Amino acid sequence: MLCERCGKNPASHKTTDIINHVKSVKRLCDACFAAEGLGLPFTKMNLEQTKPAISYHPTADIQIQIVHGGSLEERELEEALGPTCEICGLDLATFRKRGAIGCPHDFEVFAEEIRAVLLKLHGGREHRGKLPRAFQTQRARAHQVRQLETDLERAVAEERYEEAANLRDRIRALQRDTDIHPVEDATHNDG
Amino acid sequence: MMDDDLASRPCSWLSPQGPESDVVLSTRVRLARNLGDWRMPWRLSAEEKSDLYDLIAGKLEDAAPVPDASMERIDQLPGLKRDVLVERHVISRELAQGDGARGVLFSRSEDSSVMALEEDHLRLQAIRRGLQLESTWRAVDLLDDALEDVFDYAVSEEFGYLTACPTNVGTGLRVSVMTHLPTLVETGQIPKVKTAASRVGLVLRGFRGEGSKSQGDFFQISNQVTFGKSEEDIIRLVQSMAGKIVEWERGVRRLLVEQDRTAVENRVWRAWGALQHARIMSSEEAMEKLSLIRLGVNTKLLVHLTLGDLNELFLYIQPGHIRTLTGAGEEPRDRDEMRARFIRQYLADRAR
Repeated sequence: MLCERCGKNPASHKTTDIINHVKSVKRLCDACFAAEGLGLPFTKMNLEQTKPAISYHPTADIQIQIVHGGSLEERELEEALGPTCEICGLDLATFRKRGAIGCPHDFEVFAEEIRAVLLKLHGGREHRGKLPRAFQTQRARAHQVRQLETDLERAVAEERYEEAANLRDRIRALQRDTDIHPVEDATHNDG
Repeated sequence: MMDDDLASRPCSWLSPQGPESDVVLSTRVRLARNLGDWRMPWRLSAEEKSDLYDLIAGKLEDAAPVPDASMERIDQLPGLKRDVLVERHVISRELAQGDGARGVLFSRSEDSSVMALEEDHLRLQAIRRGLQLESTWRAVDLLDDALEDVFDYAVSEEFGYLTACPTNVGTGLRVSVMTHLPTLVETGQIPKVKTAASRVGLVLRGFRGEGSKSQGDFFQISNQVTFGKSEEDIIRLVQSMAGKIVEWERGVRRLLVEQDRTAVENRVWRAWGALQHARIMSSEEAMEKLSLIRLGVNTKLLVHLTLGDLNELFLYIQPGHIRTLTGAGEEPRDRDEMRARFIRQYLADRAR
């Protein structure tokens, strides 16, 4: 494929811009890539590699390139632009402009901004009301596991090993039913 | 599938036997829901939308949360049929005019529906005649219970149900009570009603909802707040405000008739005359005239029609329905002539 800018040289770069939720892809040759100010250094994020815990639709894989000038450090630039969601590619400016959320993960990426918007719109600080039953059950179990882990720690510290073994079994049983896993593996605590 | 005689029968929820039906036409409750694993519809490509639509439609048809319902693919439906569904409140204007794969699950009774790939992945709604907030909420709540077993909803403990627009985050709940307020309009009270509503986080919208103008003195009372209040609190709030507005309108109706019965009669009968004899009638004018007839029926000044007839007429005179019922073309003039003829015929049949 030939470069879409000069139409002479073979295209060797693919650039993706997402502006106002419209994605445009340009294929450029080395010279035009540099001429458009798209030269290095740039950060390249491949979503397949940084894929988060949530399973995603395969085509959600978008390559995003953040191009920045020489004087700004990468972190400074990110701060100036605000966060960008690595799943839907929504950035803070677009979120503000559109007032719309791109994917469920945005609620984590733009949490601060969203809290402010919700407070202004609804005068509310946290959700009250219905939640899916499965979500509530899982939340209750997670809470119970945290409680039991605290008890377990105390039991071990106080050398009540029989009770500790009991607690450990209950924690394991709860964890079998859910996806909750403790940060530290409690199985090494031989009671 | 959308059957061909849909436009020629009244919606079940327009029946006049509902509570407070002299002022309230219908109660509608909808929930916005999204799937945790997908980007919001506005961030999906055409292919992704098509894939997601197939997934949603398949699950909805398997789960069958609405008895005898089937999926209708809106992007493959002619514009006229979409208009008919919008006018019947089965789908929103946004779904009709959107792009890419999208559709709706609904049944012949039309009292519950699920829209797929509107602003959110799913929009669940229930609609009932008259003022029935509790039971309409229960109906959509049950529908939601059935669907949460099938779909992995996007939720968080802090934000509740996650939606594409911050205005729906939390409960995703929007309640709309369709009221007919001819004498509050007549006496210039609407701004006061609006202020009273906005003070408690409610809003008075026009006939077609958000951003629309009032037609035929119809207004929707809706909640604006969806976050930080429970569904029950929101329902109670709308119930209380709707009750007050109903009493307000009834009070002014009584007062106007007591003060100058002839003046009210004069306006009602003039409207009757226009509807009986006009040869060209726009939908705006028809709504305006029918609004006066409805006032006349409710104040017992006019007995030729029932509230049921009127509710039916309000539906049938909408552009999509008129075109379907009379075969009128797309030209507004053609439509307006056919509308005038349709109304004349309808009144002649009833007033015999």
